[in-house]
Amino acid sequence: MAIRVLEGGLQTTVQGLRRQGLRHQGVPWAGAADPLSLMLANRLVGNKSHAPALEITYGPFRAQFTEASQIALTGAPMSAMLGGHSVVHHQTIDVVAGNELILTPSRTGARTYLSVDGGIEVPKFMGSASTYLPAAFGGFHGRVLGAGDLLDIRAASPVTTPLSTPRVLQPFMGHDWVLRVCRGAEAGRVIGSSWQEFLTSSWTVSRRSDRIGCLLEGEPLQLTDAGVMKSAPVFPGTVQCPPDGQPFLLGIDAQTTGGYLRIAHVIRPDRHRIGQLRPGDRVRFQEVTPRESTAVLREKISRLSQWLGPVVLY
Amino acid sequence: MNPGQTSMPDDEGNLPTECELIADDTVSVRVYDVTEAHHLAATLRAEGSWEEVVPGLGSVAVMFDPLMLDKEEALLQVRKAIETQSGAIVQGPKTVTIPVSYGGNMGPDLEAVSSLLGLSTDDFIGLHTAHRHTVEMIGFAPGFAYIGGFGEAADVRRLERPRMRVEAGSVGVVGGRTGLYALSGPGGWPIVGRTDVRLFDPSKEEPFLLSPGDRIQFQAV
Repeated sequence: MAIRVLEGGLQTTVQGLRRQGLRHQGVPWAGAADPLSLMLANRLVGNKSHAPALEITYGPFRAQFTEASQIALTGAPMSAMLGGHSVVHHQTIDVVAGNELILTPSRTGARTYLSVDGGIEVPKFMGSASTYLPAAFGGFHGRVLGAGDLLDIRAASPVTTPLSTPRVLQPFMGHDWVLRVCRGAEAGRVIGSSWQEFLTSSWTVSRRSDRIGCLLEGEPLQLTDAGVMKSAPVFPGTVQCPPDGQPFLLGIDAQTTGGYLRIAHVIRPDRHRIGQLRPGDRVRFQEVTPRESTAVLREKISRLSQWLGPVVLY
Repeated sequence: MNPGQTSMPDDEGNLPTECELIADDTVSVRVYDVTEAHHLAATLRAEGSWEEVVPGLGSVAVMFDPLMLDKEEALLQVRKAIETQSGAIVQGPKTVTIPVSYGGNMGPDLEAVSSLLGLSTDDFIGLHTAHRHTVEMIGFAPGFAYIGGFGEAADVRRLERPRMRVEAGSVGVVGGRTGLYALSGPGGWPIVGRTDVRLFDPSKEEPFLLSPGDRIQFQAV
């Protein structure tokens, strides 16, 4: 069983679980930019929650299936045609040998996940199947997929009864996002009124956005000693602010250390949303305490685990 | 860390603090210097209960799963590690020669950095290649080496606006340190030159060329 890519679009990669525990060697996580949508896609075809799937950025995308199988689509709601018929997201989709899947770019969200019964077969590199493009490792030869690429699919489990994601568990997709944050390590170097502006402003996601992070446009923040900083650990979800006052929200491919002020940190239960921010979207930040964040995380995981089984959010 | 050290200010005049939460799932410990950062990180990593233990130049960040460990417990465990740490970094330092093409397209910021320091570009290259430097940390990106030992460049700061793309092998200078970019990618260090030595080679069993403690000799080509 295989998938033949006919058109890879802007950036399609194989992504699964993060590459955990190597940040001290400078190795970023990689993995699905929206890990929740990956888990939901895998659930619909009976895969393990973080089995490697295709992450399709903006689209368009076209592929052909060599054999009968089951697939599912989650994340950014691209319109989808399979074998000439339209198919919907958040449902198990039966595929007939030779079927062609055509995805058309969506207006909301950034990344669509395509899971296949059995999961995409790629070798693990440093413990993970996920693609890290800047270093060209993991996934399918460490690169984006293009026309002609043939992806092997793991021997599939018995056919699943068609499923659909409960509506209440389908993640928000839109143009206006609220991300909850805790104060970052150098939050104290944002001058008081500027911190309030950081929280009350509507920030626009710039075109300078990718899996590493998103530049946020708005009234520049006022900082003290902005250029004085020893390189310090950063993570997906860290909001950094360079001396020019324009914050930068780090994504799943975030570097491991950085030298700009770490003013805030998006909380764990909200981090999967970062992977769906697209240029032009607006973001507001809402401050919570670590204790409040843990309560949100606990509630979210308990709700999700009824559908997904054991859930890991990061 | 000796208890006595914790009250000594570091080179930025800050008093080292114990530890604090810097996110809902991350504890940061300020340390006296990079050596202490690596000792503490090695001790914490040996415990095996953390998602990530990442040393920086003046701190160590420890990420935990808030559902497995609440924040008070996490802080307590980190404090315990600070008190009991005995771990040493055991890696034989080696000496590595790094040939560098300074200036021009390879080092677009060489002139600006030299003039900031009141040096000719030749004097800058002379100083940079005369020193023996030491790798303090691998981080920021796979194989990116933070290399200490260029005190003359203490006043050089990061670019106001980071570049979206810095070429692999680029040699940057900031705050008395040299940085080697193993991969092409975004970066904020002023770039003075470039080397063709591969700092990260995923096909090798030991993909990282440099380790903390290694001695570096730069050579102009």
